[in-house]
Amino acid sequence: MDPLSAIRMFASPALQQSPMAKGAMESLQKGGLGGAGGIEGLGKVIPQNELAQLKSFANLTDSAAAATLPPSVGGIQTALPSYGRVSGRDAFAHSLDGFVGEVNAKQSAAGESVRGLIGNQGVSLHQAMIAMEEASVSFQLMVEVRNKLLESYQELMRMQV
Amino acid sequence: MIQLLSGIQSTASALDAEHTRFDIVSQNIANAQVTHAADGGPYRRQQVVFESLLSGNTTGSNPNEVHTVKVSRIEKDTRPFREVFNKDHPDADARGMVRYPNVNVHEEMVDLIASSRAFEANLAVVKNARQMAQQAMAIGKR
Repeated sequence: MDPLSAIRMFASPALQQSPMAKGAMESLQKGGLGGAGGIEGLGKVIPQNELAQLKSFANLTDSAAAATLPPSVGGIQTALPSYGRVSGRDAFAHSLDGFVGEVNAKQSAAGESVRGLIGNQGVSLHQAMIAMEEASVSFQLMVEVRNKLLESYQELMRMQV
Repeated sequence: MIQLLSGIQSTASALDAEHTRFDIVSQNIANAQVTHAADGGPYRRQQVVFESLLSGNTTGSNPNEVHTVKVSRIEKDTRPFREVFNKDHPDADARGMVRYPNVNVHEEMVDLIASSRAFEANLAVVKNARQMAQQAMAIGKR
């Protein structure tokens, strides 16, 4: 199984509220996640934990933000009608899941075109290279998003109460 | 589907089309001396015809329609064959004339350069699109 489909599996909504997320949080608190270092040894380090962590950040930051927001802040609440706790969290997790799925699709398309190239199935060199480039750029974007979420979570954790 | 590399769709199709053109030019050069092709006569020069294709969401009034490039057809050149006197040649006719393909190698070289430059230009587009995406992602770095 390639690492991305592993990520996808762990990102499925059924697993969201599972003890998996809790375990991910614990491993994070123990310092199991070395910032952006996870991307380097992709072959060795299976990033499935990272996504579970990402998911739990999504839940956590969302609920934290909802907690910091008083239930009635004058007219603000009417200005943000869709900011329900449950639906907001689900929507974010859903779009994150979709994005990871798309990155996965690009990766497998790139693998398919390279296989077509070396298997002499009428795929030309530039097509394979472009597919690989697209896959690489979208993966980089996914890592950027994950880094950003992690950063904002840590910022929240450092906050004085 | 997200489009991270802008303009990549039309560029990829242009690369495909130029690739086909390159193939046809190389075929012309390779067959420049062939006096007995598959149809019995000398090889006849071929040339590609490109056309622009509107792809993407063409039903709605989408401003982001993509004009891609496609090889519409491969035409045969109707110019006359080159005739050379060589009565000992197996393909010589009754007058001792041998008909050679209507391929002018100099002309083909010019086409080759043109198609290779066009390919290069499209590759530069790909490279720049990637660079732009990476620079945009570097906004978040510190």
